[in-house]
Amino acid sequence: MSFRNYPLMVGGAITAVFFLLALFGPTLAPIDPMERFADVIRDDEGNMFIPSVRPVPPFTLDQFPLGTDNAGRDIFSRLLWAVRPTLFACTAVVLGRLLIAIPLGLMAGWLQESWFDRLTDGFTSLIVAIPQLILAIAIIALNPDRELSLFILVLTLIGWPDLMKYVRNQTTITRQAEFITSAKAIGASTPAILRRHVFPQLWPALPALIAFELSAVLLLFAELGFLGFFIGNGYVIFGADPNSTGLIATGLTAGTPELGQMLSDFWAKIFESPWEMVSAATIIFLMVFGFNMLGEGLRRYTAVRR
Amino acid sequence: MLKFILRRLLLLIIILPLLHAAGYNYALLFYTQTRPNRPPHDHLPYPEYLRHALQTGEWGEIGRIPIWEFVAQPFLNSLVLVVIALFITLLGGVLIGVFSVSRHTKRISPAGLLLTTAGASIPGFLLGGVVITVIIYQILYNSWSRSPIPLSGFGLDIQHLALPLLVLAVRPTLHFAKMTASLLEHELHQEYVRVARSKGLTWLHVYWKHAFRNIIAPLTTVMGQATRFIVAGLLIVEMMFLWPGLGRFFVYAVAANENIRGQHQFYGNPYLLAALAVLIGLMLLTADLIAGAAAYQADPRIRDV
Repeated sequence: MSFRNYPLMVGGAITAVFFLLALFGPTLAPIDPMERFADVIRDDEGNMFIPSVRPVPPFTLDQFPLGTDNAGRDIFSRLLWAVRPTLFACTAVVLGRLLIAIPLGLMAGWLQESWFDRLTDGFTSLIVAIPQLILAIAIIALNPDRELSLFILVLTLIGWPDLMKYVRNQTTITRQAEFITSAKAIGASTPAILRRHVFPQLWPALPALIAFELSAVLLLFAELGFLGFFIGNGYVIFGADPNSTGLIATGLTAGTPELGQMLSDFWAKIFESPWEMVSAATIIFLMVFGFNMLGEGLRRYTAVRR
Repeated sequence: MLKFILRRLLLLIIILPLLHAAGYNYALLFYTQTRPNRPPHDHLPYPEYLRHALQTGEWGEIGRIPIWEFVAQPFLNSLVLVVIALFITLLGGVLIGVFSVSRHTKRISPAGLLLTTAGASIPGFLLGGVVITVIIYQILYNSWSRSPIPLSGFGLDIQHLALPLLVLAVRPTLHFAKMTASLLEHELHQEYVRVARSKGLTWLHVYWKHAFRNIIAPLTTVMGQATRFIVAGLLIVEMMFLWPGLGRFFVYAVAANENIRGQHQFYGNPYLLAALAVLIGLMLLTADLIAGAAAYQADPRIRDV
């Protein structure tokens, strides 16, 4: 490659690191992400820390390099666990969107100006006009059970129209090409033409499209998480009441680690453990940046090759 | 031009009542979905509600304030943010976009690419969260007597507006810059640019008078995208800086979140949700109208469609 494509290298490296973290992160995590530390921990200078009572700031104890969250759990280990569900959900959403968008886009582009094209065009224009965040919240709020499958389903269903428009426009361009006329002349059926001749024309643009879509979906997940819509339900933390012998509810947080969840409850955490939000948001930024760079690099790579 | 605008206005008049119906019916569905164990709600079905409202002029109340009066102030508060953020987006986006294309290689410069890609990847709440966290920690541990700018709350002065606008505008601006740069990059490789240069015109002239005029029409589409980013960003910004606008009431109305306790009167309120759907739709459709009119003005080829 004579042309130095640094976005491709940077983006590829960051993306590879995060996919590896999604695969192996949980085994690398030094501490159980669900374990709440209620015992007194002393550092070398004799300072005492009780993570479940007062969260430990980052870089103070070697045991918790990024500190603990407002329930007294290790943020570093939680982050290592959190990449997996979020990245899995993003990938699933993008694949789902492509699976819906490509066949419909091919059909609409091939049957240009037919009733099918007009119908899908009207529908997609309507969906595209509504901000995805608002639409996603409106649908997710209807379901009290915040399961992984719900998020994947909703984000897939609201996001495919953009991609479909792209596929449709590409198909209408390809349809004019000479090789399509030739394929018709040898008597190829329409499904065969679409599969063998039109669809392969999308291949070069597809990797960049997937990378950009991943970044958009991840940001959507992050914004949903910030507003309190994250994968997995919340539960109440009980802590020892210093004034009596019983247990009292000291806070409410989610069990399973997930990047969106670590961003939630901003104002509730701001005086207790703001570092949790900052470290999770930095991870999100790095991931989105990696995907965007990768997409940009792939776009240039295919443009140069052509 | 006038015909185009009138047609779009007609569309607006058709869509807004549909949004009102959608918002109201969504709230009724929301009630039965999220509160299955409660007694059924006592709100009228939409047709009866509409007939009653049209006859008497009563569209419902929140805390004894008529709903349209109630949402008017939040609407204006949000509108201020949206309009200024959009202005920053257009101005900043175009400037950053133009300067990130190198005039020697006619390509996006590496620094420009890094800046626009990184900027378009920053989640708004990261920026806002870091600023708020840093200021709070300076106050708690480093003996700052007070914050240099208000961390939250509403006000129409530059100090109150600075943080929300920063968070709201940074991603759309750099997204806009990125799109401007890539469109310009494509345009500068056209033959007519070479012709204009060989005629002896200055780069500045070629940029602004030749290349830039050709990308205005596609940029209006990007402006529509940017508006959607900004309106969605309202939810984040208004929750983060406690700005009393539409986005915050939308979150109150649908999100049963633990940190917004005590907002029961808004939770799933059909009048509020219907009004919010209309007003948010109005913002988006108006932006779309302006973008469409700009494209119509800039590109004669789309006039006869």
